[in-house]
Amino acid sequence: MSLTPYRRYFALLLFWSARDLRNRYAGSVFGLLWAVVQPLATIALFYGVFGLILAIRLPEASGKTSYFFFLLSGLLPWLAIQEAWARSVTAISGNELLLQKQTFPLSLFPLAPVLTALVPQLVGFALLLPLLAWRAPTPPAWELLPWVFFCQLTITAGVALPLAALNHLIRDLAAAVPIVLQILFYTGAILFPAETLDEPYRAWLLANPIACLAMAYQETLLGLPAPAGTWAALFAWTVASGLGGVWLFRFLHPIVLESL
Amino acid sequence: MSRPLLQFHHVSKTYKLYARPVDRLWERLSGRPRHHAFTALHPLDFVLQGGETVGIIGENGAGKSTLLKLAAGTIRPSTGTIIRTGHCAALLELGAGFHPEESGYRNLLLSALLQGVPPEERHAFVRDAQAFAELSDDTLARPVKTYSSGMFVRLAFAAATVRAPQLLIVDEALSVGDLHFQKKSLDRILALRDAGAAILFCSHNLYQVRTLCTRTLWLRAGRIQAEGDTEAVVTEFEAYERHKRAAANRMSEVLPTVPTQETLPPVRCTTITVETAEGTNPSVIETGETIRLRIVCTAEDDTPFHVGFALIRPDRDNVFGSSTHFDPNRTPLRGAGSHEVVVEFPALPLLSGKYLWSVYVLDETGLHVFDKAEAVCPFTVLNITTRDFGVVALPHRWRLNP
Repeated sequence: MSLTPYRRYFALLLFWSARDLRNRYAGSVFGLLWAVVQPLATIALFYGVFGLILAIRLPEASGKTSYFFFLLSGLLPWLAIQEAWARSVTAISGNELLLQKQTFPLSLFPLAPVLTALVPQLVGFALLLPLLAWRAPTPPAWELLPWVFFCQLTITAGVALPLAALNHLIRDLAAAVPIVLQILFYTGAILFPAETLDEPYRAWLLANPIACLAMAYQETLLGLPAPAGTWAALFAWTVASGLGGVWLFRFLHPIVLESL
Repeated sequence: MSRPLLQFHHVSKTYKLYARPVDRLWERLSGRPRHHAFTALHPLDFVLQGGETVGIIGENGAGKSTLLKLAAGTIRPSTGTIIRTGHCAALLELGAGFHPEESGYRNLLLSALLQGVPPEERHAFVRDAQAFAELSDDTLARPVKTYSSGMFVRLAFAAATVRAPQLLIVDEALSVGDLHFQKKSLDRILALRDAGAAILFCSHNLYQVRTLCTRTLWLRAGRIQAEGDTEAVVTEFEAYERHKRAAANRMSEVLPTVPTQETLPPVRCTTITVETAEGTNPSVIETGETIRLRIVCTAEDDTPFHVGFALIRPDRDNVFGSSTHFDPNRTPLRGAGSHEVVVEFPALPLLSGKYLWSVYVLDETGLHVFDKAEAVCPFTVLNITTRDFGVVALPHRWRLNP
């Protein structure tokens, strides 16, 4: 007997993600440890520069939350998104030879990095959340967390899918993506709280899905009130990238298959 | 038993050639064509039944590979529909989906997943494939990039066929691995056929097509030139090839080919001599002389085998060929040591010309060639007794009616 197509796809996705994770650090001495060490180093660097040297302080309204927690609640999801997009852009074009010879479901390739990039974030959250529950002045709004995480996953996958397909047709994308990622990050309300911005800049934050997501995480985990409209904007971004991404991927799918 | 396993309905394949990949996108968005079309396969229909072996022959670029890839589902048809029933295995590029850094075990697991093997059967899948590929546990745990080419191909063949496919697509992949495994893989394919599987077989080796295929399809420039009984189609194709060669004026003398084997076959052809009343290996033979072709084979073990020969002309046209396995009542030769086979031609009816011999040592099925010596022992025939001309003196009778 054979599996149903749905279960077959899911089993393949898990296998491919596991392979992705293994192969990235295959041959290195520390192996999978790098998956945790790399984000840790990034966090330490940003905390050192912005938290200690530049000494960014949170506004009084945010209570006694330390900058360290603030940074983590936005940076951990961002590192996952950034890695997912940076790696999914070449996921199809990099596996072209394989796809020419074997019939794989195309979406497997961009979705695998979306899943594997979550590993450091999940490890980070597993350490951060108990700490917050214990130390934070405002306990996290646990009930919102699954929804914010769902939004993050939908936006990440919704962009990764068409990005991978499009880069197969326009190779320039792979070069442009790092630039876009930089812009999204530095305007993403991850390093600084939204309140430190004056209008109209604060309103512009909502135009950046990363900022919406970071502010939603900050409110959920730290009780830091997000600017008005953040949740509506996040919802809009989720719907747009989820539906739009899948639609665009389906539009590109036959073109990519034909070009293999 | 006999049900259609593969159906092509008006299937065609046109490749669109673009200057740049992005042109595909512009074309789709603007609706204005930006490509050059190349039609590899014009609309064709055919049906493959269970238990059937269909050969695909044709020149390079005739569309054979396109047809096989369409049948395997690695590419999609431009028009028409392809219906596949049952589990299909394509032996097109063995191990193409294997990842070199991953262990043989994990690559087998991916094959199982791609074939939709349920979790509870995955262990059996891996175990059976490992047994068929004859790889140890230690080997299976190593990355496949450390495998020899033979080990790699064995594992890939095992992964493709372990689940007893109902449809098997084979692209000259029969010469995989060492001799022992070549035989084993061929036997496996034949066993699958006998169990009711359908086989689509593409080969340049017309001898193999003749022996293996019940029906043959000759593709020419993307169309079916002829289809039907193998003997008829292959003969027609041979005539076409001959005609083409003659037209191209490339009737150069063939060079003797030395058998190139990596491993020693179980049975080897050691000596080939031609004897006449005048002596051995004469360079000139007269028409009507009695000659004997003496073939000596050495068997390493008890492997059963057959011996065949072909009398050929320098342009590789066969004049006459036969083999010990052509008589179904004849049992194969066997037993370690030396075997002598003598073919006697009483009153050789060849007319003036140059001729050569090809000798083959085959396995008991007659499909697998253990050893061969092609285009050897050249000799010239002189017809000094009659004025008849041509290749062969045909028995004939004149009747002159006044």
